[in-house]
Amino acid sequence: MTGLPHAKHHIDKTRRQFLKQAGIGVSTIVLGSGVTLLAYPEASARSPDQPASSSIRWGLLIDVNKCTKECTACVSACSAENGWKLDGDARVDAQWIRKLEVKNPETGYQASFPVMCQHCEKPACVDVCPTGASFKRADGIVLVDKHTCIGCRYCMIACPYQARSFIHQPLSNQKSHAPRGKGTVESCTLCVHRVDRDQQPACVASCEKDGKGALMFGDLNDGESEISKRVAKFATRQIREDLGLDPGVRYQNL
Amino acid sequence: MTSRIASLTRFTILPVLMVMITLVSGIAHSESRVPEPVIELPTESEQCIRPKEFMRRNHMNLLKHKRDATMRQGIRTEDASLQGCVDCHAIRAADGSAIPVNAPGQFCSTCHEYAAVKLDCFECHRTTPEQVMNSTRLPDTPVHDRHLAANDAKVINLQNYLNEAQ
Ligand code: HEC
Ligand code: HEC
Ligand code: HEC
Repeated sequence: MTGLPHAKHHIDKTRRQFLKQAGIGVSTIVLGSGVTLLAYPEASARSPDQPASSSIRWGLLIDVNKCTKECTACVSACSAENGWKLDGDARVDAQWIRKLEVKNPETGYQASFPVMCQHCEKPACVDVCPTGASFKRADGIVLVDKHTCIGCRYCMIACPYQARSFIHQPLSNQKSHAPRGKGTVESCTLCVHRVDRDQQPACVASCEKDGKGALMFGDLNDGESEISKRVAKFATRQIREDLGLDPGVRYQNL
Repeated sequence: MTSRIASLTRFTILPVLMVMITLVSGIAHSESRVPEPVIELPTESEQCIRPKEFMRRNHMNLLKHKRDATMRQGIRTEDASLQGCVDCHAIRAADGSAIPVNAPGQFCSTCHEYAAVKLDCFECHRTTPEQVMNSTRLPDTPVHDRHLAANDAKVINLQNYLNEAQ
């Protein structure tokens, strides 16, 4: 699958046109050996020169029953996609996504699931940021604008999910689509570079391909999207609902 | 104090540089009395994204505009992308490997050194072209990676985790 940049570009373009013209539901495109792209209609409408739309609210639904303790497909994919590594030092390690293990001591119920930036509707990190670097994009994705981040780390303290981390060491050879550097805070971007190109976040794609199919990505504002139908049909919950931040990440069967 | 000196230097050096660059570009090469930055241009492409004269003066404005449009609004056009500059302007060493655009004497550092401009861009941004922009491709990484798995020693109390106020 190397040496495909042109083919890829071409496919992206034709796919967009194809979807536009045909107004198709979910279309599947197979790119040679075993690589499948799912194109969701709600994601395909935007062309590269259009800004993210406030009519969309991107969200994740995590089915905890499907997620297993051993599987780390989502974490591995995020790490490879965004170019971060763990040093094994919990105090400074990147917190883009991590697997948690939980237990209800009363019932003995145990579960494992991934936690990442919860892309809150009312993000605490944005409230405390002194420079406006923490912000929520029109389509609900919470990001750090590293160009204005001064590394004060208030947002790391404010985040109840401990979903942000600070880069302590100089880096080189970063991914072109995920610039990262010393002295700034970072967190899950919901793979905004992929979402803007009609692709699912890396964790979701990899959970589908190599994992247990426990993650679903989509537009919570679009009543016709799979994710909206699922959250309408099944009981789901957000972590720390009591804080009223209204996360865009929901958990099913937890 | 230092910043005042820096801005003084900048404001005096800049006009000088601009005049010089104009002189050089106009009539090729009349001997100048001060040394000038020697810039190595890409060989694989013939044109920049705008006329060369415009680029010399305005590339920083294009970049900063594009930066905000992409970062804040998710506009993903190719025009004035920083990675785009790098893809074209990084030249190849004899062994075929790309030389970082910000290495001493390379395209994004020659003028800046001359004009005492210091960029922080490349602390985060890649300095060489990337083989494949691999976003359609999923990384080949192990599904079961002990190193990335949850730490067994730390099983969290579910009730507290979901609702600490309880
Ligand atoms: C602390 C890290 C950091 C620094 C320093 C930094 N950037 Fe960025 N830059 C980013 C991130 C993160 C993005 C978002 C990438 C994305 O969403 O695809 C970005 C995106 C961009 C983009 C849009 C994507 C592209 O390749 O065109 C431009 C243009 C850009 N930056 C220009 C600059 C310039 C110019 C500087 C130096 C003055 C700079 N950046 C310094 C982290 C940084
Ligand atoms: C398609 C390849 C390509 C891209 C993309 C590109 N350049 Fe260029 N650039 C060139 C070429 C070729 C020249 C020489 C043009 C000429 O000689 O007329 C040039 C010339 C320049 C010059 C003038 C150099 C001089 O002679 O004084 C500057 C400054 C410059 N580019 C900056 C940039 C910046 C900044 C970016 C990214 C925003 C960029 N370029 C993107 C190919 C490219
Ligand atoms: C022809 C000389 C020249 C070349 C080549 C050149 N620059 Fe510049 N650049 C300048 C000058 C001069 C300034 C300072 C302008 C000022 O201070 O107003 C500058 C300023 C900048 C700034 C703004 C810095 C700041 O802190 O405000 C950025 C960003 C930048 N250049 C990016 C690039 C990149 C990226 C490349 C390589 C692709 C490049 N430049 C190549 C001459 C050049």
